[in-house]
Amino acid sequence: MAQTIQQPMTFYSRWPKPLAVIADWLTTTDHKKIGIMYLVYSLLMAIVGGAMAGMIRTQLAVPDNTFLRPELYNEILTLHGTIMIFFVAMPALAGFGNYLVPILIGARDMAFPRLNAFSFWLLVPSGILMLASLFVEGGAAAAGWTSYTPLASKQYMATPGVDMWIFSLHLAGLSSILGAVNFIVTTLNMRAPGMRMMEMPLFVWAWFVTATLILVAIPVLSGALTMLLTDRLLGTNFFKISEGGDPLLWQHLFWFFGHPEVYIVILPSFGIISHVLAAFAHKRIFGYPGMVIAIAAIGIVGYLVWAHHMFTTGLSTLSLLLFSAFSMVIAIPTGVKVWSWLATVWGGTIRFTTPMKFALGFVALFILGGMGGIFLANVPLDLSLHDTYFVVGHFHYVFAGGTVVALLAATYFWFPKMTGRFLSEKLGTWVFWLFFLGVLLSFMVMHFLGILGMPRRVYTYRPEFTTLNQLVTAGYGLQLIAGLLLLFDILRTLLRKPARPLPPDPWGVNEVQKTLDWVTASPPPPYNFERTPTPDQWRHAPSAEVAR
Amino acid sequence: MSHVSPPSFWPLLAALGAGILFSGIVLYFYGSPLGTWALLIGGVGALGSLIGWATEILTQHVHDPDELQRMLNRGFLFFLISEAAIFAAFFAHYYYQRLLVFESWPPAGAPELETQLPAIATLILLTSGVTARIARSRFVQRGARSAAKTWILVTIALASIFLAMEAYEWGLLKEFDNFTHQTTMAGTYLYIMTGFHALHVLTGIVLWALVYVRLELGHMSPKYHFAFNAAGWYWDFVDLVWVFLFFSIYLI
Repeated sequence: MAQTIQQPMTFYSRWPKPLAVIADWLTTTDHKKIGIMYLVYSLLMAIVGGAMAGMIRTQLAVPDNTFLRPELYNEILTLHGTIMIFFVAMPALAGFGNYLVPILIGARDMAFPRLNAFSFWLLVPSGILMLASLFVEGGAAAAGWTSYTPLASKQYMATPGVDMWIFSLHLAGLSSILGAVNFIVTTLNMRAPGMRMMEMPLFVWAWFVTATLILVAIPVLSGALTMLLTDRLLGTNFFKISEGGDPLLWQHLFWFFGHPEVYIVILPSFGIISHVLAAFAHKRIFGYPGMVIAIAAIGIVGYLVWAHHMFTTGLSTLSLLLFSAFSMVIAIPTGVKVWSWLATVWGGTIRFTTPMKFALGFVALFILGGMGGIFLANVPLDLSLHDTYFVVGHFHYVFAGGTVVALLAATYFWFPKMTGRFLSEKLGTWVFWLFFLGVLLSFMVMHFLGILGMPRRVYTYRPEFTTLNQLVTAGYGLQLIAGLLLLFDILRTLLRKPARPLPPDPWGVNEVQKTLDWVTASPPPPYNFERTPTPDQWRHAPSAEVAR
Repeated sequence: MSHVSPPSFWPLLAALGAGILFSGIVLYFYGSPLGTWALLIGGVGALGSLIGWATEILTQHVHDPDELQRMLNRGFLFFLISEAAIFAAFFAHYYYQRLLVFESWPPAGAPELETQLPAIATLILLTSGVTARIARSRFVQRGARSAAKTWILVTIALASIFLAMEAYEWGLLKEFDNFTHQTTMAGTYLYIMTGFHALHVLTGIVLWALVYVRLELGHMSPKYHFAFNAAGWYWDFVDLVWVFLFFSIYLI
């Protein structure tokens, strides 16, 4: 019989209700609550970053617009990029990771619960520092999210905003590194007795590989940021060309971090999509071992491609060839994943639920985004497309069309698990189509603008680009409405009391999937599982391969 | 079975402390009178929170100490990988410039570095690595607490001598060669890379001091001694980085 497990008495147990609730959230070490805080944080930052995107698109709605001063445009552009990557995409994925990884491996919590809380809380001063930099004298950092030197050096950008940007990323970096250590140890040590590595769900594998990427890539950024910081504050010469330094070195160091960063935000998304597609095709994921190997291969090759961001900087022909070739090699494991997803859906009993729509939309958008990547990995093409809107369109396809769409799929898929309520399917269909078409419109058109020669990161453009730019802005409008609808639906659903409690498997998918998230209650109790899960709860019978 | 991690205020406070500390650095360098205060409050806050955090851990019941020690060991080693990656960024910078950019080294305006003093310092630091190992084996293999404590003190003393010699050498370079972190690329590398390493030596000393105190209080046993492992590995890491630094900055 189920043993009763009581919450331990705490210092705030006798406090009045609202205070106790606040104290509970501020002091919690429960991976589920921390995961939810990550998600709320990400949502709030998405509102800020999305508003910044709106300012950018308003400015670019007509040529020579005076909505933003050119300097302010650069600041908004820089913070939009930085916030979307470090404070929206990463915390959201960390949120789902925190919530789901321990549950999926049958654990009661992360390996180091307090460290986990620390990782989250570090993001709070980090975000405050980043946003506060907008209001200091001299303004925020304005050298783009890549902050190339010498532009970001003291000589050209004297504002303390750059230093705040650096410290903000130091805090976020520390948060990520400690989080990565936690994920790795959790995955290695906390699996339910009997669960082999090759039995872990793909989301867990994806996060495991992502954590190893974070562990090596983020410190390199921290190192480079430290050098930039000492150059700015102490007058050292790391990035000073006048002292004989190579101006390209910052780019090498930045992209050695920056390219793995791309995989840091896409691999967990791959994991999410694998879960959702299999669940609503009513089949097991196709080619599980191949999927695991593909994730690992992307992680490893992802370290060897950073200079494809630097094809126009005068690298040697040999470097160009190698980095171009490695970049294209990434298409192979990525292709393995896409074909496995298609094979998963093929012949399945498909239910077009909202998460399924997002997952299928992800595959479509990701293929489109990936195609642009093949263009850019091609040196002769990149020479003409570099620093145009083609690049902007490409990475927004994979960030918004990839990571964000995957996050939306995850939101709709696991919302019943986390809250015990379903989001509206009807509104969800609207959210999906508006967002999908908005992404398609905005970022497809950006590719055209790039081919026509519109440079990126400029606050204005030539009059002949007006119509296309207005289409991009219209696409932003669609995404904005989708976002507001989702926000409205989330708030409405949370404020309404659920009619009846949901069963552990509200989507009715676990008979085929056999993942532990659908074994425990919705929402799960603080200890996740009343009894430690046993292998029959996740292991598929040998014949289950063909059973549908 | 019924273990759910209890709530704690320390992670929140430590994070806020770190944020205030970093804000303080910016304020300080841009001449704000608030800077010193923020540095003070942030530093005390972060450090105090870490101490509170550590104290809290000590008072808690551990469900499965063997597993916990395995996880802590593993987590610390993974953390060291990211430490290594930070240093790798500096070394990559250094070798890229020296091998691919600069035609001659040291660049004009930088003195040829004397190797005698750093070589002795290197020997002292490496010796401290040996004494640290002895301390650990005395305690883990023989359970000799007081012997371990003595060897830890020797380690701390040697590490302090190393730091003092480094500071002395910096002083000499500044005084006689007018060589600072702003003098040429070589000055930047010398002061920032060895300085960053010195910060790690300092952290190592603090870790050893903690191990000493915890031995004194009887917190560790030959079976459970994660802090000892962590300090030991950290120290090996600091030694190893120094060998690379000495070779890179002074020898070649």
